[in-house]
Amino acid sequence: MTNAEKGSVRKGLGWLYETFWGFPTRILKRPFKGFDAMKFEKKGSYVFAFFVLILESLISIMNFVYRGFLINHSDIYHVNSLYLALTVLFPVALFVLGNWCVTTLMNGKGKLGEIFMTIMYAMLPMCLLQLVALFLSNVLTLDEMTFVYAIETIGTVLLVVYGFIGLVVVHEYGFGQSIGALLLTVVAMMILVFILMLVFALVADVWDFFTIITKELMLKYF
Amino acid sequence: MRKLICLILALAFLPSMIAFADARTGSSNYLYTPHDEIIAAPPAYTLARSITARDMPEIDALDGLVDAFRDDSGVYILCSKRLIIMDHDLKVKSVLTAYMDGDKEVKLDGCTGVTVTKDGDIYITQSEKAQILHFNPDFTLNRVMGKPEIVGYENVNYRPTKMVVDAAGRLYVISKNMYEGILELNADGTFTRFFGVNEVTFTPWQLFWRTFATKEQRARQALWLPSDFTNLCIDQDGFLFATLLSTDEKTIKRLNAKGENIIKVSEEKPYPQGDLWTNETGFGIPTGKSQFIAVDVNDFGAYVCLDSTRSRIFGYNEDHSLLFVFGGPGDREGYFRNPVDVIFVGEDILVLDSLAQSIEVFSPTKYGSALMNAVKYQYLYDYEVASKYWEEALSYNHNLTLAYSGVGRMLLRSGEYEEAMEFLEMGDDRKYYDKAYEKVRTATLREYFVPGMLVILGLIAVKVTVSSVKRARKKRKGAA
Repeated sequence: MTNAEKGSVRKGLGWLYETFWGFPTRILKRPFKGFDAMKFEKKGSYVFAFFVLILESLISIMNFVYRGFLINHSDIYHVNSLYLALTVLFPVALFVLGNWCVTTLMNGKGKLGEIFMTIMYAMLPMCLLQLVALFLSNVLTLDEMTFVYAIETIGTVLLVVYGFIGLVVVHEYGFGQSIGALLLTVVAMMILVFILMLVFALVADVWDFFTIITKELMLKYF
Repeated sequence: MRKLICLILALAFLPSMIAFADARTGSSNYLYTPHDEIIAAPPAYTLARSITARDMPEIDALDGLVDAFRDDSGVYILCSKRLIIMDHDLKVKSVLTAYMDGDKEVKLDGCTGVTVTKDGDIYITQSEKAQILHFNPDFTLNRVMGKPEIVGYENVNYRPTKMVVDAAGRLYVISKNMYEGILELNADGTFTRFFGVNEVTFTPWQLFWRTFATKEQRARQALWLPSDFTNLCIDQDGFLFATLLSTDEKTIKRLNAKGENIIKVSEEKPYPQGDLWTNETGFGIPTGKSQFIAVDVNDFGAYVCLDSTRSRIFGYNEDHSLLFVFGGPGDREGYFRNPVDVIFVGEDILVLDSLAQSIEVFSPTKYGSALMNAVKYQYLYDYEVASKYWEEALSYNHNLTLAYSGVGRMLLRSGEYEEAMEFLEMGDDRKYYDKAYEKVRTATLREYFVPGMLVILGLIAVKVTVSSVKRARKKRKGAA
């Protein structure tokens, strides 16, 4: 192995370490400074963001299938992985888009990609805690399952806390402004869902229209 | 044990296939999985014979069947114009068509309900005549009970349709259109209280629309009245089982002395409500929820309910788990045209079909009798015998969740925790799975705690020595 190759391997390993351990832990330890670095020093990584997104989708599937029998009431022989993954992907996409729409109008400094990355970095502790809870749900008894629920709740709280800090930093907002933006984001998400439903209904109608025309033509001329 | 169970399970496929191919039953046989899916089940009860007037020379017709009652002394079948008293083998002992009221003979007519006390006194309700006839055990009239005096109800129609008498001699009477509940009367016929009122329920949606309705619209809407009771019986513990016309799923209630419903099921389990999935619309087929109109309890807490919507019989155990379903609307064998009442007679189940004017006798199949025996011995806390019957039931129906949990509980008792876990998981029995799992986990921890700790301590010791040796070397180098 030449020195150049050695160098690139070392570089690659360094990148791996920094992306999957160094920077995430930095954000977890010092969220304000961490998110600041993500925005202004371009330390954030899309690779890691998508990694967390995929991980969370997988966890949602795993939680359906591999959760301990004692607290798993789902019908594991009828698992719809695509649907379960979408229960993660769709809300994330909706929130990121909604937040972006609102904050662009409210002089937020965050870009779409930055908002996405913020949410994903904030989701990391929840992911890890959910994995821990998933493991514990398989080894604990029914009385001890409170721990599992507690851990999952802590995970959700952490997501909210880190997400909020991240958005404050990324948009360069104050506290009150951030709260307002979040509330408006919820409204924006609802509007987005409404528009989506309209679009789907319209597409279905158009589709119907063309299928009926085709049918009529087929019946008449063929 | 494990080998034995494997063998049983392997053998399970053979008879269960035969059972599914059984064409004699001609009725709907299914159960629900823990996830509320419909799953085929072998027939638990099949039609043994149907008794019509032709089979009973003592009577000329079997029209207007309305009610049936069973106790230790025999079986009482009530038509609107006659009371037929049979023994437990369904041989007619005597028939009551008329009674002497003073000097004049009165023919029975318009009877709606019958009940017999443990002393042999017979009560017959006559709804349209607004009276209850009380007969002595020798069929002479004891008294005629008219409308009890209730303050404030002088102008309300009294229509006693069904009644029971409890061990203390109190009379519980269902009167049509009395919305305050079941009437509780003293032994002498005086009114004590209304009992077990069905509270009016309405959805927020209904309320929402009502706020927009004008006064005229509201006047034309149907009144929101508490639902009527339709039938009742006393169970082995002295509680009242009552069926009612209800819009929600609670068309059966088990009432305690305070009149509260004591049927409590865990969140994972459905309320005993008949069919879980029903069609709301449809042409030429029954629609809507199951509506229980009759109920009977056997001595082991198992009860059967008659669903008037689809003419099906649903059997439940004392924990309100579904045991079997049979029957259905139709003319074929094992189907009913207009079933009005259902009772247990020994092992058999009797269904009165008022339109077909027949008494349908259903006997348990081998599967059904294994099932009912398992339920019986589980009720008697004889888990060992129950487990044997559960295994037999499993050999006919390997989808029987209840049986897996029954066998699992037995294994748990006998200390075979790992096998118990396997069965309890298949039986969807989390409470007992938890107990078995705790034992297994404790045993595993006990087994691996000492070696595990030794390994950890060993690793720490190695680490400490290595680092101290290194430090010593460094020191020596520094010194040198």
